[in-house]
Amino acid sequence: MSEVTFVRVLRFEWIKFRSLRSSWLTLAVAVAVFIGLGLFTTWFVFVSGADSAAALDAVTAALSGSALSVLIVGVLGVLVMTGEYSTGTIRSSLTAVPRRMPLLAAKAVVFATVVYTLMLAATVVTVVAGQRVIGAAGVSLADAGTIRAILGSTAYVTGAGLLGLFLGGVLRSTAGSLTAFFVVTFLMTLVSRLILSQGWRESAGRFLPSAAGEAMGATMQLPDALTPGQGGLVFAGYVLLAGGAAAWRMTRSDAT
Amino acid sequence: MIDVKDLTKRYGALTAVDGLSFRVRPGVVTGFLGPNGAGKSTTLRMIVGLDRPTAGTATIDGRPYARLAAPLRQVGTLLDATAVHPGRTAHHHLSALAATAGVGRSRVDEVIGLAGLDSSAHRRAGGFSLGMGQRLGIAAALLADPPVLILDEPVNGLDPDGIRWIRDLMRGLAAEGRTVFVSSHLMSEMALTAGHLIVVGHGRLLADEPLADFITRAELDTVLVRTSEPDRLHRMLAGPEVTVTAVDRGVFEVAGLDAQQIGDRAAAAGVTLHELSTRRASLEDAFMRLTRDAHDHRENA
Repeated sequence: MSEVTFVRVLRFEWIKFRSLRSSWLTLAVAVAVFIGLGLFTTWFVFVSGADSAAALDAVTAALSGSALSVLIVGVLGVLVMTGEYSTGTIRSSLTAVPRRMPLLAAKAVVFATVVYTLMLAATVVTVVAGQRVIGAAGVSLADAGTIRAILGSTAYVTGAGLLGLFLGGVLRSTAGSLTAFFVVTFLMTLVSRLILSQGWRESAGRFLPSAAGEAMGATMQLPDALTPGQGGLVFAGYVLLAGGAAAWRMTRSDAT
Repeated sequence: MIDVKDLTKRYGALTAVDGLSFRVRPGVVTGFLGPNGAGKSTTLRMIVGLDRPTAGTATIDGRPYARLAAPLRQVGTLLDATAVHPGRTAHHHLSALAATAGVGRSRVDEVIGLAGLDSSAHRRAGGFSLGMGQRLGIAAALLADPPVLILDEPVNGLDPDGIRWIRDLMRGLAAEGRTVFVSSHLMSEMALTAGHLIVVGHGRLLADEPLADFITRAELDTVLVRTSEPDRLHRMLAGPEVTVTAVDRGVFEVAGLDAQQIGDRAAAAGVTLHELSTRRASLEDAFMRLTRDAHDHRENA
């Protein structure tokens, strides 16, 4: 009757998440940036008269805020986890839920659900509003590619948040985890462009976390990119790898 | 009942807890006493499963903490360091914990009232004073009405009102038949609340006995002796159970003999004494001596 069930752990993590004002502020910024950037790009490409309409389709333009959202949501993911350690909350969390795995899983589920729901809504709003900006020339939400791009791009942002959360679980320090997150999502891509030869870039570069993640929300299949499905699998692999490492660290080492 | 067996914790070359074994029984406040750095907090963290022991076990009613079905309903814990997010209100902190144990909203409000936090329940914990944080920690420990309570330095940061409140609370909880295990580095505090003492120094068990026995055993009075014939004094006092410590030039503190015995011996030996007075040892002295001896033993070893 009074056992700590997984549903109770979910409720625990949900109350903790929703009771921090900073979480919602950060999410609001992520949503605002996403919508703002998407609509601005749509307007700039299709309405302002700049001669770049050929390079971008309407959905890609609407999703152009996702790179920045990845960054913001990733930072939030890191803070959700490292905040427990830096404030000592982890001590009350683990005395209430001594089993590490359900605690970590519930934290990930609550975070992913909130982020996915909000970002999905923001993406749909941006795409729909973007079509109105464009007018008759726009695409329909009903197109299979559009829906897939919306779901895929939202999954990328959410997955990046989880990556941040798990890196936080592995490293525990906020500064260290943020650095690791930037290295994994951005620096690796940047450096690979600088140092890898053309051949390597084409064969290996697409398996990098950010390339795989971006492939999830792509509307057009680029020659040297993974398909959205492949990208999803590869990116999920990275997230699960970090999740496994976080679980290992949590179960293995002292809480303090 | 808390059962600790051969509990050991090492951090590299440092041994924080060294083969501790003891049992904490219900119905009495058990004081966990030792100077700062004696390994008390580490021991408590291992009991509640936050830290992994290097060796040994700690169980609560026969199970390791991590295997308890409903930990908050079985054990209430107050740790020494803060365990609350400064951005969260006291009410939300408690509500979240309550959710894990299926504790209702009314009980959350009840413990808030019990801890005297009514007026600040909806303020963010970052603005709390040390004492209010401590009250919130105690409210969290009492939340699911557990039969076992583990409190690490609960009087820290409390004002005199708060200190009296927590003392009464602990005694009341023990009187209800609960297991109450309280750590402190202050002998005087434990003398007021505890019925049983577990004393540690440098991670080792120094004493595990009722408070009354500890007092009888520990309150070893000493005798101050002043003389101009120190060599003869030493010779006449020498014995296996007697220690003579020089306090000043010609002034000695003698343990193991009372003033009458010393006076008789001095008269028999014809040694002139300029002073002969009994010094009553305080409990604090006894505690200090006990932990200092442990330290010396260690240094010698």
